[in-house]
Amino acid sequence: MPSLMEGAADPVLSVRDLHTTIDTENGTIHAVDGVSFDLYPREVLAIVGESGCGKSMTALSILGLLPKRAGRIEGGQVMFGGRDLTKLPKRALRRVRGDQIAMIFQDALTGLNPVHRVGDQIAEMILAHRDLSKRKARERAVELLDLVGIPNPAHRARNYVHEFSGGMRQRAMIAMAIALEPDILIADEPTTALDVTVQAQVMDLLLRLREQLGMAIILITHDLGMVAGAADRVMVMYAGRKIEEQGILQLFANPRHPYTWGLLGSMPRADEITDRLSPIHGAPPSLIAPPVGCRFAPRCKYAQDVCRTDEPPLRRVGDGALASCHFADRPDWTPELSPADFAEELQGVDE
Amino acid sequence: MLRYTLKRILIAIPTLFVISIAVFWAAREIASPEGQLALNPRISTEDRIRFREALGLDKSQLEQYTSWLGNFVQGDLGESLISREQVWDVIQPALANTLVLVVFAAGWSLLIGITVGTISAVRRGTFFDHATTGFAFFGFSVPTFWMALMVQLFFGLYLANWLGVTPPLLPTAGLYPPGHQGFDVLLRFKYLLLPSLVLAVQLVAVYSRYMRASMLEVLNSDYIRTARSKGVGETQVIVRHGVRTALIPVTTQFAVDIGALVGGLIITEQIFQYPGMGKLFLDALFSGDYVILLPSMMIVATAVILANLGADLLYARLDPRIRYV
Amino acid sequence: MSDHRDPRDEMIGQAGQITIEPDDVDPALFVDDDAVIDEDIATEGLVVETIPQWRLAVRKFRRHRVAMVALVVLGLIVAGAILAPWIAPYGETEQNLQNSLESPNANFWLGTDNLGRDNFSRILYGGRVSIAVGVAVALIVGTLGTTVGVIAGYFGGFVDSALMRVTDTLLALPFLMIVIVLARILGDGVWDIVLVLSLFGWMTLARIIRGQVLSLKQREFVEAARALGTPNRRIISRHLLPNLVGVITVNVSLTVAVAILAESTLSFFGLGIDPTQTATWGNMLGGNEGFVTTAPWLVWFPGLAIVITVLSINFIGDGMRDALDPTQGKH
Repeated sequence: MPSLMEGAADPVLSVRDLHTTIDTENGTIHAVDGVSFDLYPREVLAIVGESGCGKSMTALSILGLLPKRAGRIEGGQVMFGGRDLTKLPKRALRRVRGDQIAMIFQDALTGLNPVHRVGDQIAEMILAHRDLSKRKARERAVELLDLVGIPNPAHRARNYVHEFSGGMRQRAMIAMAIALEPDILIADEPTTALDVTVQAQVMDLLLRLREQLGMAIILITHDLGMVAGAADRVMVMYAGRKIEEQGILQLFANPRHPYTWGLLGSMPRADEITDRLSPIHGAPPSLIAPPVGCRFAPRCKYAQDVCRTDEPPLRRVGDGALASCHFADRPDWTPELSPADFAEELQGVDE
Repeated sequence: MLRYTLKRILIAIPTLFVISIAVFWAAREIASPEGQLALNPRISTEDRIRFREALGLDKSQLEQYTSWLGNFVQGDLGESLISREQVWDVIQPALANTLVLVVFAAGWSLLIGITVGTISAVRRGTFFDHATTGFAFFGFSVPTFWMALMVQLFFGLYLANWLGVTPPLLPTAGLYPPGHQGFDVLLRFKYLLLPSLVLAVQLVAVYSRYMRASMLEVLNSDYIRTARSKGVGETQVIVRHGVRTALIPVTTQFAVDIGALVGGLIITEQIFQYPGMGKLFLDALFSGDYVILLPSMMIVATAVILANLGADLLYARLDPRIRYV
Repeated sequence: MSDHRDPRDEMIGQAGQITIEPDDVDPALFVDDDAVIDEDIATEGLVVETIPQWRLAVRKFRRHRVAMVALVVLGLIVAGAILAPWIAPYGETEQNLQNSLESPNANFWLGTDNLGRDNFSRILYGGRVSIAVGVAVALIVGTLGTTVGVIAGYFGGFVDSALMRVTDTLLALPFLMIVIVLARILGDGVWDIVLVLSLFGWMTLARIIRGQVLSLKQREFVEAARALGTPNRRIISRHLLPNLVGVITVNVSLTVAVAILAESTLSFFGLGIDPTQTATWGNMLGGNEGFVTTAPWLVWFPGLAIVITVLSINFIGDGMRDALDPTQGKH
């Protein structure tokens, strides 16, 4: 699979052709259907997509945190530190978790144990990987709470999760995740459950920590607006596949896939006044029996016959973009192109 | 926490009050003292007058109630109509016996139940899970009295015959052999075995299911996944995060059930002729001994309310989320 | 008490379930054919209310082998009970004194008692009463418990506190003691016993329902319906109750089992249904306790009847709970 930053420093994480499935009553869902990407040191890679596109499952697959009975990795590799994480024995994988690759989740209220003190949970992370005394671990926990900007950290460490406000909870979870200065931090919708102002604060914190600790961040979200302010590169997922990948500025300037256009177009923007938002009509396809051809075709305004029969490969388009769309390299391929004009053009070519 | 405790106590008091009224009324309905006095030929005339005095049967119902309640709260329970003993002297050993039985049986039943339930949850769908599920279902589908009878039959007769030993293999009735005096730990133990077996089977059945259900719910939680993502060892995840949290509703429910057991062992005690509160109640019911019936019911009810209170406090102690409710 | 769901209600409601499928899969991953879009919600597709369809539930139930076997067994027992007057070889109170205390033989398949009454026939007839009492109690408990639970859970506040206070107080009383006392007061007819058992059996269901209502209340569709000004009555009947049907069905079924056990216990001690009028499995056992060593068939068979019936009901209830579980996953 082509990568955008070939020739740059070696990637710290390399996912190759990952296939993850989930068993359900109705059949087996191919949640992640052949996804590949690289993550470079110190960069923020955003994985964007709507609910159900497989972005969370990709993240969980990296650390082997899939639902125990129903989820499994069917194929592919996750290369980290010269080893394939998907093939690691349990004990070795455990050592990677938290220490080298850490993860934070959407809702800290349910993500942290409600009957243990917050400080103890942070200390637990430390004690799982380092040979420290309990007291030292707890002291370190207080330092970490301070680092993420929680006032009165010594007192707070003895509190329980429900005694924290939303933003503080998330900070506490972040403190726990960075306790051992991991190489990679995976943030799965870290701000979705928060107020807008608090969202900004938490994102600032994450970026500041990235600077301080030199870690790479995988930022999973459906909020393109947040991505704009934080990410270096963006990867768009749809129906279990990666359908576009670009640098952040390039993505906003020159998106290549109609789905990305839809995402950008459906964002409310403070600098535009419109009467209505334009959502993308329809719903994602079933991942139990994925459709033939381009998976976005049923919802795509520009869909042609070839889209419905041939799956577009993910290929390099223009300068440094990756997109899987049959028409992505057309010079006039922009959101302003009207479907009618496009159809006409194609007809014109035939004639 | 303090406020929570006070609030709970404050609620318990009127509840006890209401229950005392209900118990008073119920006892009179079942074993009307006037009727007893009138019908029982064995009560001498002087005693009859004495009882009328003591129970205040000349006064209004309300006065009788208040005077009884007043006495009860101070510990004065009066004298039995039938046996002329001090009521407390009759109730106290019964209470002690029941408590011994409950503590003896319930203690290890809870431990076994919790362990089985946890393993069942963690190893869901395995043979162990299905086997213990089957056992549990059996345990709470069998009527207690039938199980008691079968246990008696089996250990008292069949097993002994099969082993060629003179029956009974294990004592099936009473507290001690007839005519035994004094306290003998070993004998007591032997006589406790069968009744506690019956109780234990049911407790293990129910509590293994409770723990299993609670564990499954907890294992589903996000914080379990977070703990795993931290690289915490699986055993520690299950015990420190899973069991610790799952135990909360199970143990507090247990506290409630213990309270209920004080008066709830009626069947088991009756069949094994074990002289506890349950048997005392039943005997008093059938013989119409109002003076024993009333306080024994009230004590049972009080035990239940106190156990509920204890359970609420335990809950707050274990689960920091509800300390301020 | 605020809107506090007691996790013990959850636990009690879930206990006995053979399989609980974890809800750890992103529900958005499924295309749910069974989703019903609530017409009350004006914005299309914004709020989706999922009601498990019967076909899906039945299909899941059928896969639960033990429950299916139990269903067949229970079916046979119920059929036997209903058809008792036609298939019983002897009358319920028909005495054959020259054949008293016979062990099971060709004439009397399960033996006879001390009055020469056929055990088998009496078990069939007894089943009618025992099962009927169980069902009657369960239906009353179901209605009462659901009503209290829904009102307490939905309206919250003072109403909830008051109702829960009453419920908890009644729940605190030792069941058997109270029931015995009340049975003594009310009498020993069939309906007396039904009344007594119902009066003290609805509380657990009320608490479970209340817990469910509290969690449903938090889901968007209730808030949305309220925001649209839907009257309470309609919210309850159109939104809450359909989602409660599963829980109610499962728990009512299990109540049948509990009621059968309770009735048999009462009758055993002579505090239940009057044995001179009607036979029930319980009072058959009670009357024959003395014969346990001399004529064990009189104790074995009624007892087995109870155990098998109750066990079947429990397995079926469990299978139903499994089938109606809205979360999806593989065994």
